[in-house]
Parts: sequence; C-alpha cells; structure tokens
Amino acid sequence: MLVDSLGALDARSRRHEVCVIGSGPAGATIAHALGQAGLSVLLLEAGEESWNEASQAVYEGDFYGGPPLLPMSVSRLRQFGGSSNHWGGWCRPLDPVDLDNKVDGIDAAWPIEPAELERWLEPALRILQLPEFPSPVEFGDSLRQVPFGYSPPVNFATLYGEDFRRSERVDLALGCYVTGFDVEAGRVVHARVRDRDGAERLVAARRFVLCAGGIENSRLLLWANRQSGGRLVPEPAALGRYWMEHPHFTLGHILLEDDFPFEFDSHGAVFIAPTAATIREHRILNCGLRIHPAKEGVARELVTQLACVAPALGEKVFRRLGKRLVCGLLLRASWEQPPRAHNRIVLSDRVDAFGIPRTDLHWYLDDFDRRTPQVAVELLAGELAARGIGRIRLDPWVEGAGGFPPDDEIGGNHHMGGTRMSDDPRRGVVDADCRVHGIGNLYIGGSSVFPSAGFANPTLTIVQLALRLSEHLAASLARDGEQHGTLRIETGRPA
Amino acid sequence: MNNKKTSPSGPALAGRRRLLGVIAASGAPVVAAALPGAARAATVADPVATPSGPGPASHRASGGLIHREGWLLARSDR
Repeated sequence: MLVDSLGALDARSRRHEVCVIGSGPAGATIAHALGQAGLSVLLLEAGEESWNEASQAVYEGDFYGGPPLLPMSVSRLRQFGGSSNHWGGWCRPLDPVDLDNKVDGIDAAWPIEPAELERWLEPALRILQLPEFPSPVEFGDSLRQVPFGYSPPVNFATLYGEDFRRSERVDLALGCYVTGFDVEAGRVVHARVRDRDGAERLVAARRFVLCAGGIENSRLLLWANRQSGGRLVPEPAALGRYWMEHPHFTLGHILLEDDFPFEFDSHGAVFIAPTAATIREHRILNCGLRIHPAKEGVARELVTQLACVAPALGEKVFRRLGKRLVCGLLLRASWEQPPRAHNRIVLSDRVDAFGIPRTDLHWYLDDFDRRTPQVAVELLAGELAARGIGRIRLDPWVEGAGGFPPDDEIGGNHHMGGTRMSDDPRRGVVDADCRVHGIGNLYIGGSSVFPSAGFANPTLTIVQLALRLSEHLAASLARDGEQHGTLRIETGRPA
Repeated sequence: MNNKKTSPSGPALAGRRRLLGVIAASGAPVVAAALPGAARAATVADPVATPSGPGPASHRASGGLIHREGWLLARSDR
C-alpha cells in the first residue's frame, strides 16, 4: 500500500522484514519479488510520484576531470521509478569474459561465475519485456556481430505502481530520504529517514537494501559512514572508488565498396564486438562497435577524400555512389573502461537542502580508454578490407591527435561502481552476496556493485542481480526462522 | 586550471565544453591537463590502485593495414 507518512507506520507498530531504499529498476524489482514471496517490505523513495524541481536539485553535484559527462541532476531522476522514467530501453547481457580479468594489472574480475547471472536472465528478460537474445554470429576470426534488445522501455513506476498500491506486503513511502544508519554490533538497527513532513524517523527492519543509484549509493554510504564514525563500512578502502561509465564516442566512418553484409536492427544499428579470445590476445577490454547509416552527403565527401589517397578505389566507390547505393556508414563505439581507483565519488563541501554533502565526481579517461577502441576498429577495418566490403576513415582523436572530443556523446549515463563487489574487503565494499563487508544485514543493489562493466548497457544486469539478491534475502530470512513463501517472479505482463 | 564544475546549467556546460575543446586542440593530453592535484595524490596514495596497463604505442592490431591520412587501407589499395 501507499503510506502517506512514516508516522502512520509508527502508529501501526509494524516492523518490516526488509527495508528497500530506492525504487528504480533494482529497488522496485527487489521489493516486488520479496512481496510476491510473502515477505513484508518497506520501499522508501526519496522523490515523489513524479518529477519536481526541488527533489531533482538534491542530485546537483560537481564534476572534476574530462571530458564532461552530463550534469548529475540531468542524467538521473529522483522520483518513483528512478531513472527508468527516462531510460532508453537498450539491453544486452554481459559476456562471460566480462566477469574475468583480461589484462594484467586491471582488476576487472567479479567474485561470481557467469552462471550466477545467466540463471536470472530469462526472468529478467520477462520483466523488461524482451525476447530471448539470439547468439552472436562470428565475423572473421576476431570479431562477432552481437545483437541488442530494446525494452519498450519498461518504466518501473508504471510496471509495479499498482501492484505496490494494492499489496498487503509492500508498503511504499514516497518523499522519504534516508540520511543515515544506526549500527550496533555489526548490524544496522535503524535507517534514519527524513520524512516529507521534515521529521526524522527511525525505521527498523531485519534487512536493509540500498538501491539509490550508481552515484547515490556511494554518496549515502560515504556520508552515513562518516556519521557512524566508520562503523557502517568498516573496510572503506574501495568506497566511492572504481566508478565507471561506458565511454561513447564517434570513431569515424565506413565507406562501402560493396554491399554491407549485415542487416540493421529495429533501431537502425549493427553491433560488432571482439571475441573473448581477441580480447585476451590483444590485451584490451570489451568494446561495442555501433554502425549506422551515415547522413546524406557524407559518402560523397568521403569519396573525394579517398580519391586523394587511393584513386582507383575511390573511382570504384564513386561508381557505386552513382547507382545511388548505400556507401557511407557512421561508426561509433561504447566500451569497457578499466576500473580505476582514482575515478571516484567523494563528498563535497557543498550540501543539499537537507544538509547532506553533495557529490564530487572525479572521472578521467586515460591511454587505455583509447587503446581498446583503437584495437577493435583496426580489427574491423582489416576484416572489411580483406572481404572487399569497405574502408574505414578514423576521426583524428582515435589515432592520438589531441584528447577525447569534448562535444561528443562522451558517456552513456551508465553510472557503475563505487560500491564494487569483491571477496577482498580492501578491493570491494560488498561481498559476492552484495552484503556490505563487516555488516550483517546491509545489502546493496544496482550497478554500483559492478566490479567491471563490459560494454553492455547495465539495466538488464541490474535486474538480474536484483533477482539474485532477492533470492538470497528470502533464503537468509528463512534461515533466521522467518516464514515466507517461494520466490516467484511476476512481471505484471499478460502471459 | 580550475576545472571544477558548479551549477552545471546548459550555457555553463557549453562553456566548459568549449574550454575543454581548446585544451584538446592545443594538443595537451586532456587527462594530464585536467587531473587536479588532489586526484593525482589520491591515485598515488591509494593502496588498491592498479597500474595503467599497456600504453597506446602497442595498440596496432592488424599488420595488414596501412594508415594514410586517417584511412585504414589494404596494402593493395591504389
């Protein structure tokens, strides 16, 4: 049910089994799955039912580094359903190789096996209203065509809103901002919550799950840990660190001398990626090369340039152009960024309207961020040339002329890391069960637990991990003697 | 250089992007130019920081291509 204020809950003296903080894809999925399993859940959302300026202003922060990402008050949404309210719906599962270390010195390994994610792929696809993914198709020895899936996109406020309102198991409280945790003997006993009436209330539960987002999870834990004198995150070395985005840049164009052998998908794109063996052999990270038809006129300009360096080939393409065949393609890429400790979230000297420090986000691209797309695009160029399909012309920055272009897309608004998963508390904030190291009942959901990020858009993985965590929570409460039903995944979609 | 970004409104963001564009056009490595001292110090002091991995000089993947004025051409291209 929808509760007007936490004061009303106090009056009912109700203690929830699980308190979920944040109602985006991770939090809504966990609350819904646990409610379906018969557990009592309190779902706290800091924002309101819909967007409002005052709530959104809490997300303002300062960015250090470059090139600049979208402002943090624009790239995410503080409202019921979280950032799924402006999500584009692009999905792809991580590749098994994404969970491994690929390059010496780059700590990218997940403490779980790929099968742990694959188990939850099918139910996650149902929730996101996606068909099964076809298998990748090899393109030469080193590359493969990888399909993307496009969710309608699912908005989690729409998907589960009515269920939460009708539910006798899930209490949804909007306008409730978690500002701290009380810790006793290695367990969270209360979440400190600023209710929409301005009062601070204490919320008790057996388990707490922080799902506030890929930046807020770090910010809230950093602040709450400071307030608790370091008792909330006893091993804070990695807290806020190893933050990642998927760099998104234009690499150049492809000029076709023959028909393009791939069919564009429903979004007018073809995705090519290196194979796992190629990633290991060339010591790169994962990379999605995204190919679209180029704008009109681009091919003619490219032919003119090609004629200066390879006149016979230029003439061949020019004849093709004269037949009004497709000749020009735009080549973009998004790729895996090495998790770096210096890419991090720290607490600002500035505070929000509630007196909580804002976010300082430090994000830098380095030589390795250039190396991965360089290698991937050369492999594609070699394959296109060997097959007589076309040639690639690179934008100058790809070959090392100057920095990353600051006027490009830059990032995918994929906020990952900061509370990464690791068996080693010095290298991660949560363990393989997504439980905060050293705290018995505090868990984290969402992309902030990703130790590394592949190139796949993160929402599908977020939902897979949320379902996995739901199962763990239900099982751990059962071990504590709580009575509940079996975890069932209801999608709200007609069968 | 003060690269701190406050109140990132649309015009301010455009201004910063122009500023970074100037840096990029100058040929200075953006990372080195933009990395504030505090962040560099954090990197050095961090007990779990990872090394950078191989640099850009080793990026060549395909020996069969010729780089010419931005084009990746086959050796047989005329």
